[in-house]
Amino acid sequence: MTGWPSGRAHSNSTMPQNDSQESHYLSMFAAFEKNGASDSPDWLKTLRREAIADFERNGFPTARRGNELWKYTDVRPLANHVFARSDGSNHEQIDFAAYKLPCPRVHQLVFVDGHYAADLSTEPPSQSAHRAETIGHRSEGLIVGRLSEAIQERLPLVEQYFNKQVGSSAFASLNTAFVEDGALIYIPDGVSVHEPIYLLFITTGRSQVVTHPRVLVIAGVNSKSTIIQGYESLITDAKPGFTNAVTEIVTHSGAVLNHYKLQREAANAYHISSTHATIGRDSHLASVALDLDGGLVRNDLCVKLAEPGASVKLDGLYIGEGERHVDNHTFVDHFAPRTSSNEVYKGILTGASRGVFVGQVMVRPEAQQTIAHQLNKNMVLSDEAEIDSQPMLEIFADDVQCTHGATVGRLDATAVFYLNSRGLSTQEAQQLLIQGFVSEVLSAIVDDAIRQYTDDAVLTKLV
Amino acid sequence: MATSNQEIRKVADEQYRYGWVTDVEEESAPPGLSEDIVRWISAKKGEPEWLTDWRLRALRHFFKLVEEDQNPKWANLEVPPIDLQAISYYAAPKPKLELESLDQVDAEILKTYEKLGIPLLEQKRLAGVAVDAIFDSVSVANTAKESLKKHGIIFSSVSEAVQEHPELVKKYLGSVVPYSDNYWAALNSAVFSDGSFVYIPPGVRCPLELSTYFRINAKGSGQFERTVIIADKGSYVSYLEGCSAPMRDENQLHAAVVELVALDDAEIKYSTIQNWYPGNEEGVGGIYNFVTKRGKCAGRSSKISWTQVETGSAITWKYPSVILQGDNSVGEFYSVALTKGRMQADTGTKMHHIGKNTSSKIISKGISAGQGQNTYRGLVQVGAKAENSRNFTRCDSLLIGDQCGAHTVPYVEVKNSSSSVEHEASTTKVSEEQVFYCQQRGLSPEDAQSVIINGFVRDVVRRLPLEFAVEANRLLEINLEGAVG
Repeated sequence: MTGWPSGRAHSNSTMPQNDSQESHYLSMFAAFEKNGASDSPDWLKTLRREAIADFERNGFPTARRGNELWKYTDVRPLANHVFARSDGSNHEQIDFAAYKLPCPRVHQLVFVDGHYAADLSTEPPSQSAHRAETIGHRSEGLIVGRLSEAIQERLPLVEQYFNKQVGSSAFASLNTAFVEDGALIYIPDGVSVHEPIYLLFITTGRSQVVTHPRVLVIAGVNSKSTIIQGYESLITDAKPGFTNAVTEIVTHSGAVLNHYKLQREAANAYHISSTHATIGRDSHLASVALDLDGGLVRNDLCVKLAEPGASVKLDGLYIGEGERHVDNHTFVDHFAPRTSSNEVYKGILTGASRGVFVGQVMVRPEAQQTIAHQLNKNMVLSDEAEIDSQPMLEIFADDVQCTHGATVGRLDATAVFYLNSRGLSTQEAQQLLIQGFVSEVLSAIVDDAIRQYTDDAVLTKLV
Repeated sequence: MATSNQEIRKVADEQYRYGWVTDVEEESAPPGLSEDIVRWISAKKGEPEWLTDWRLRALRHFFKLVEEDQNPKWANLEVPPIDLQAISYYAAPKPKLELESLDQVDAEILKTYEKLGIPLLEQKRLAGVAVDAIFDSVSVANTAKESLKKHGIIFSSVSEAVQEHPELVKKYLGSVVPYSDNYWAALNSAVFSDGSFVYIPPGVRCPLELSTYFRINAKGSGQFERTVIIADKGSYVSYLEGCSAPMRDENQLHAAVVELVALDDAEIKYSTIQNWYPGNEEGVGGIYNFVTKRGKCAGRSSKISWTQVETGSAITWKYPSVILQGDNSVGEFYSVALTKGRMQADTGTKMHHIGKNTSSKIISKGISAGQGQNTYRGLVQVGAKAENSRNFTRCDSLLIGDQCGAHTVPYVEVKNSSSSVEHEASTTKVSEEQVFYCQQRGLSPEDAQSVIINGFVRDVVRRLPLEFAVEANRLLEINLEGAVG
């Protein structure tokens, strides 16, 4: 009953557990280095080697006492599972209608089992630049393209921004070591991109595949753009897959970026993702993360408000059912004065699912006149479900306004009764109340077309 | 802002007012920790074999933890290495005489209490407070024992209780905080010197506020108090603990354990004022306070309430907690923690909801000034069978000066759908608007800050028993009003 974990709290407290779990990835890396990655630029080869060395040294994180970051999430089932990299052979026919955004124009990149699907993607705007051989001027134009191509063509942008914010966590290291493809998005200074940029990562579930999608977003000065990242499983009775995604975002002065994530992987899928954002002067990031599915889900979202006036809005919704485990870690780092953050994460847990929310807000000594608000609300709808919520404030400045809150409860019986008395059945009343509960998060999506798409996704899930 | 800067400087410069050393002959154990020392302490106190064995088991467990480096490091504290072998684990004033009246108490000791502002002679007259004065490790005076005896209440030192009521001590010692609980509890279990033992028989409402003053006095001696309070069915007791230690240059270790047991319908109210020496402006010296306090609401509809005002110690590591085992039981935690200078506090509570319809309430107020670091760390755990349990947590932090830090680290773990848990926290400084508003009404900026801070802690301070408020107000005045005018 000691309750508190002992041991190191914040150090890289990952301990090697079982050699064989890591060695599988090490031998996979050796093969990858020989075949897939041999024509990479030298800086990337070095980075990959450092990353795999990091992974070898730290190993998979353990949920043992003392490891605060992985206290509530046990990744042993994932570590014990043997996944293979997909060979990238032609994918089957995919009925894309289910994933189509309801808007006429969209920049769309689709990856199936980690490999680019040209037939499902729109022609990247960077293609024309490719053809015109204007690589030197590339930075002047919008880029929504494959990361692999950008790497191959030695685009300076990639070397400049790639892996600059990602720490040495086990999974991010693994992603860096195996980085192959994903998206590079560059919004030039002063450009407003009106069409949503849609990145879709589909797992077919035909075999036990591990993918390491990587996305790099650079929003130029005073630019404006909307990005939606989807993670989907093609079939529900799929073989377990492992998606290990890393997204890096840099916004420059005055940039506004809407970043939405919709995760609907199979019930036995492992989804580990980390998103790292650095927000520039007077720039704003609006992030909405919707975790509607997946077996073992762990998201790390780290936002650094690096320059004065930077602000971020973080919204999240996680739905747990069955035996699922959804873990959201967010970290907002108020690094500069006059920064603000506003975070609302909501969870609905049924069945024997388990939800975890750990939200850390740090205000550094220099970050005076900071405003930080954080709220985590959870609805537990069954006795087998569990929620662990840990909102944290770490404040080193004094001229601040910071609040956080966490609630756990069930549906308000009085509210249900009220609706009953107006003629709604108990089931209808419950549904209405749950829809009301989630609408605060959903309304954070300002783009109408995307809103319609995500609303549909959430409502079908809740029915 | 100029004035408030001056105020901040005042906080930092505020001298520890209770620093002095009393000259009393000591009978101490040689420094060091070993099985022999533990046997020596146990023999010194004439303890039965089972207790000696228990201490030795605890010591072996502690050595194992030391070997495995299980010294808790997760707290937001920078703890300098502590040389456990350099500490003397037992210090007692002169061999005890039979004390029937206060006249027989050592004049030096009485003078110490007078300096503390709570002379024992006055205590007898004051509002019926019974004082079990613990001077270093051995109980030297026990004022209201006779009147408590009438009600069948046992209020004595643990050493006496071991002799007189071995069956009760054996039953309850370590029942809430086992020696294997944590690093510091293991050390305490091995070497605990003395402490208070309270037993309230069924149906008795303790007529007095029970009070103990812990003082650390002997140079170089750590103090390892062990307090056990049992409230039998339907009884009520309010226990007060206040601390103040003399000024020292070297750091002193304090690792106390407090165990509370409330049976059916019983209520225990435990209040603490802690004002140990916090070290000087450079952070030299000061008490290291590693305390394990835990109450068990073992019976139905029982209640345990912790109230603490923490204004001292260089390092505070303290999480008074409640195990809500009985159905309908209630746990409460009210805390004011002040850090200034280079003080560090990592404190909070744990509420373990196990029984049905259990409820808990946490109100924590942290004040950080100077370069102080103040962390609230709290756990609310609702088990699968704790139907309809409720928790409300409110923790606020106030920042004075731009060098300090305030941190809030709550843990909420819920495994039950019918329970409701609410946590809210805020961190701000005293806003210029508030000060301006008060100034408009004729208050000086100092008075304005003082009013605002007094309002900030009021929710907690008003929970303290009236009899204790004399001491509480005095300590708060020295620390808070000195800080803000």
